Amino acid sequence: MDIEKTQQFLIQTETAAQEILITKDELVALDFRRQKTREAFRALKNDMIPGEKAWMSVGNMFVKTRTLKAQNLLEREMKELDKDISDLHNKLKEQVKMLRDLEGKPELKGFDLQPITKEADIIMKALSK
Amino acid sequence: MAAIPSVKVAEVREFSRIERIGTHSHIRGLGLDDALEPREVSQGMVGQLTARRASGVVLEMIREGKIAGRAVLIAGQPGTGKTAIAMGMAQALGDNTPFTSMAGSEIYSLEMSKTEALTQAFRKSIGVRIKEETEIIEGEVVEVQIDRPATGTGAKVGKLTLKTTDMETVYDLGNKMIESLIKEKAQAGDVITIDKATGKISKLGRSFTRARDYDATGPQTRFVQCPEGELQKRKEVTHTVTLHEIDVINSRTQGFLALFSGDTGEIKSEVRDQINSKVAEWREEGKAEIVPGVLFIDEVHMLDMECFSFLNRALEDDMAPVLIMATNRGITKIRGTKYRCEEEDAEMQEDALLVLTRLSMETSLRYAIQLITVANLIARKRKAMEIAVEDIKKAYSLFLDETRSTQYLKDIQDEFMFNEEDEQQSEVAMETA
Repeated sequence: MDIEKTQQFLIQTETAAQEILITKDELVALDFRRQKTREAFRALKNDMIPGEKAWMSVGNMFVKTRTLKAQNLLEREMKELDKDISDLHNKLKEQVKMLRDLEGKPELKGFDLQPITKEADIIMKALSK
Repeated sequence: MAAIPSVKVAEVREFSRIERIGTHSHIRGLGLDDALEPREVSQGMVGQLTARRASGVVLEMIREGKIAGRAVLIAGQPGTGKTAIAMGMAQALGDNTPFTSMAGSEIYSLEMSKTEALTQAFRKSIGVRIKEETEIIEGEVVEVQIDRPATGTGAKVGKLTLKTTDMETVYDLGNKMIESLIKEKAQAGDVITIDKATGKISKLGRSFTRARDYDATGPQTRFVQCPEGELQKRKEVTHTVTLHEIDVINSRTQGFLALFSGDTGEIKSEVRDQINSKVAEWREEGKAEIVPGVLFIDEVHMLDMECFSFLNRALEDDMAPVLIMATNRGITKIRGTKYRCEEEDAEMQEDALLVLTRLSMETSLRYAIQLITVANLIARKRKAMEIAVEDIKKAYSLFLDETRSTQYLKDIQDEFMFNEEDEQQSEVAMETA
């Protein structure tokens, strides 16, 4: 009886932990894409001549488009990436909650609060002096 | 280039001093196992099994937030471990729950009134949890390239290449950022953090892989690992501050200094009201959580009648901590009962006093205090100098306390309108009419 229960428990916790690691890797990959897209956007902005066409690599293909169109595309992609990263962060929080629950650890309190960075900054500065 | 072995940054562990620096410094917890059963000798506590089991139950209730605004009394002979149990509870609650410990005699001070001292103690035991969130860019500097414009005037342009173990990217720099970089003296090999919202740059140290660049480095040079993962991370930090700390910060311009000198003085009630409304606003918007903590008053027999009435009222507030009181006296007359009577210009007879005390045990303290005033009036009406037992009896019969009034109402509820039992009958009556 005990061995089976322990095995079940181990399978559950290991799966939960693996999910967390996968999410973290996804975050790194998304950030990589975000940085590259931003670099492309800047390169286009700095060297572009409006009206002329520029070469852009979309996945495996090279596409020649008008610079304005290319800029819009890149901007949209950056917005989408930001949203995806935000969603992944929330997913990560849920997964960590689940893992801590499985391990019997007490919940990490306060991370579902709305952030108040300005006031918190003032308070902590005043208290740490 | 020879392969540089990866060096792990050693974990810094704080070695707590294992010395006996105070009578209760050896206590690390209540010494209970997972089923809340006390072990004979554990975490610095020895014996007192039932008391520890009971405190374990109270502790769980505190953790679940089900006991805020209630009071617990620990009574016993001197040396039986009342303070020790309170210390154990404090350690077991951990750092996140505010725990304030004070002695009853501390509230008598020339600098602060008693109610102010108690209010401060209460507000020190209520915590507010807030969260701050920032996006930061953290990486090792590969290259900083700053171009001065050829014309001599005009803004500088620059490029900053940052990397982590997983990626590397180039940032275009504006004028202000270039100035901050120059001010921080960021060079290739430094590990820096840039706050995306404020643009502030802080140097974390120098990367290990660049440790061999120079033969000699200054004494302040710290070596850190190259950061891992994303370049742009989101950092979320939660803090728990007590209401008293917020009060002090807001009540003076240099309020934070007062937190250390202890000389906070009296804080105006307008400041407190402002803070209460602000915290309530934050609660509504989901920006803050109230963490009710524990206020432990040792030697509570030193408190007088005023303090107890104050405590009674304060506990009814919606943001109230758990009050744990400890005393080594049994059932005694509360300090000030005599003075209270004198203040009300009432002289009491000995047995009237006894009746009053017994009444306060059965009903409530506040009721007993109010009775003094009423009984005094009654006594004066019959032109007597002292309050006698009959006056108290009369007052008792005229003014009901909570238990009696609820009982009374229950008994005669059918004489009132909109009574539940009556409704069905009246419904039938209406239909036939």
